[in-house]
Amino acid sequence: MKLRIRSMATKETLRIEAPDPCSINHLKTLVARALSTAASTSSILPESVRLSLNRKDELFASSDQDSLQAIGLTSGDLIYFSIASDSQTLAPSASSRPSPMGISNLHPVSLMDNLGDDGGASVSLRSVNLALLSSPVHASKVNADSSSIGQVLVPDNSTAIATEPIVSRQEEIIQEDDKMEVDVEHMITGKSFSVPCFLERVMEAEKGEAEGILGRLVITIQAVFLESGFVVNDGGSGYGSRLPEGWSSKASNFSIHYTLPELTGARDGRNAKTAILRFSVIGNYATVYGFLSGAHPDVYRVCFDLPKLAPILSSSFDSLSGSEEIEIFELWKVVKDMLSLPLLIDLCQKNGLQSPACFMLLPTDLKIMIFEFLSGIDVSKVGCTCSELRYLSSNNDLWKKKFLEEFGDVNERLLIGRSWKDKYANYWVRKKNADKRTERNIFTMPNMRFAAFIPQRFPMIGGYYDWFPQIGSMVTGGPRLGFARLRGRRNFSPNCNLGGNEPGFLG
Amino acid sequence: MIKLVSGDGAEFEVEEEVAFQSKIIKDIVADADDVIPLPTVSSKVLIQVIEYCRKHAAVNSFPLSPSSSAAAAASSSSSISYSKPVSDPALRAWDNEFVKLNNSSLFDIVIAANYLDIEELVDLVLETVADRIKGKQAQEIRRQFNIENDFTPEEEEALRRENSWAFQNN
Repeated sequence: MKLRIRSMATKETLRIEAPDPCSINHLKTLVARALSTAASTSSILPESVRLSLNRKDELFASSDQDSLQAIGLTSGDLIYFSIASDSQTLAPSASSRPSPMGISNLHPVSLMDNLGDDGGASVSLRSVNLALLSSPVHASKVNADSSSIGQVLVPDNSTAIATEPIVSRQEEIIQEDDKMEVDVEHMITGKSFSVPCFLERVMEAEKGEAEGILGRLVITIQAVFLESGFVVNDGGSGYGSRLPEGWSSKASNFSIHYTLPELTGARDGRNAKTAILRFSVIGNYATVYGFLSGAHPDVYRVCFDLPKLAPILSSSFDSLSGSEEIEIFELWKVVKDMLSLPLLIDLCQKNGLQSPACFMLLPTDLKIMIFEFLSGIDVSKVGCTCSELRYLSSNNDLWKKKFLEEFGDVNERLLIGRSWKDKYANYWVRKKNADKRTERNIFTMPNMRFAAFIPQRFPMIGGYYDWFPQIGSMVTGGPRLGFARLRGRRNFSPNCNLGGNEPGFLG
Repeated sequence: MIKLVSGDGAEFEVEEEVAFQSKIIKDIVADADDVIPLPTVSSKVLIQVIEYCRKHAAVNSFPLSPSSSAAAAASSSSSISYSKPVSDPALRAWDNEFVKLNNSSLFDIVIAANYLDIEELVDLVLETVADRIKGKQAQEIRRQFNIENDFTPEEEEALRRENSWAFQNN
């Protein structure tokens, strides 16, 4: 099970591969070891590690034996940690024993040779430590093969700590660079293909807060921003994926501050590090202004007509009609292209960040136009790259078009599937299988029983087969035809006058 | 002559028929003066767009020059078919050279072309982008365009199931 462990103080994220099963104490030990290796200065005791899912309540298990799954963690979860300062500088000692279950999973394979020999084990520990010191950035993966490690039993558990090389800090940084993280990952996954699953996630997270159409509009915008890579900056105290507390109680004028995960580290406040969305409601209209903090920013403005949005925003996302889906999409597109993308580009430019994924910065219409140039297969693969493209590429009309382009007009009754993508997929598979069958028939010897049904004359039109119909028969018919047919051949007359006998033809 | 001013303040003087490849500029010029500020287009991109428009304006103004029509006739016999009426093979070849750019330059151009409403250029670039997607697996597409995989493992599994038909070997 892969877990991401983020420091509450530094926002640094570690990736931990936890064995299965794994207790919470074991997880703490893994975190402590990863930190000790990364910092390479002081060892951190597993007991001093505090884990939390929401950065407030500490994560506890009712008993030491509970697996991580039992307390509700799943693969890919993001867990926050902090270090209780009093025990931070203590060196590991035999008294700080992790739980027995933790130990059995912990011992590195390199100690296997020294089983049952205390003296030998400590010698090997010293040499491993030296190796670690001499190459502090030794990058090797966390040993995830719990099945082999789990069987090892070492008598003295003090040797277990800090011997196994963990993912080094450098590797972490590289991973951090190529993946901009959004905190929505640990939320509920979307089910429907047609509804943007990120919208559903945010709806789920803010359940109960969304009062009225405005509330739902705010959540929709929030979803688009999170999905574009922004995080909420709730007044300097922290960053996350939740809207600032109490936003729904503010009546008609309020702001939400967004920033990027890359900008959360330093807080000098000099530069334009925050994108601000200001909501202003006058009568039936909600105007959203988007701009960067700092002097003379460009302001982007979108005005929403709330009563008109009411039908689409108040209906459940599980049962949207076709026209409602289109309207949701239009709303999404407006927020994305008019607010989120321009702010993202500005924020990256002002802070010297490389704009994320140029492809994703294209206006929605252009992304959709690219699909028009692709085959259905390629569209389905683009749809597997990220949730936004998945959403855009699952448009029913697009798939209908792809179907008609590639397969032509097929009798509706032959089509299986609810959406046009299903129909495309089913028809594609069937057509491929059919192609395979015909290929097989061509390249393998046909059963002799069917020889009688081979037509005597190839069904050919044009070329010499029109002029000399017997040629085809000669080839397939065999001796059975005899010479009678050949005689007939002399009597043919060309079906056009070539003019060869006309006097003066050449002149 | 029409003067175009890029976002960073550089000025470019272009002939009308060049600038009029952009429908937006054509509309603006119809009821305004001849200095057109284009605040969202950087000069680097504008140079490339003007280069494209120059070429296409020059070719389009002599659509049936003897050499090009002869070449077009030659190409039509050799089973090559174009989706668009832009069928001058020399121009087509020039276009193919023009789009030999890295992805981010291409995207800058297509955003500008979209803004300026130069349909042919938008189509050209998007088709090029599509060509760079064709036949690739999802992971390769992500790498090519630096797209972040934001699926949870569970979602990815569901996607794999839904799209298993497309992942079978052809």
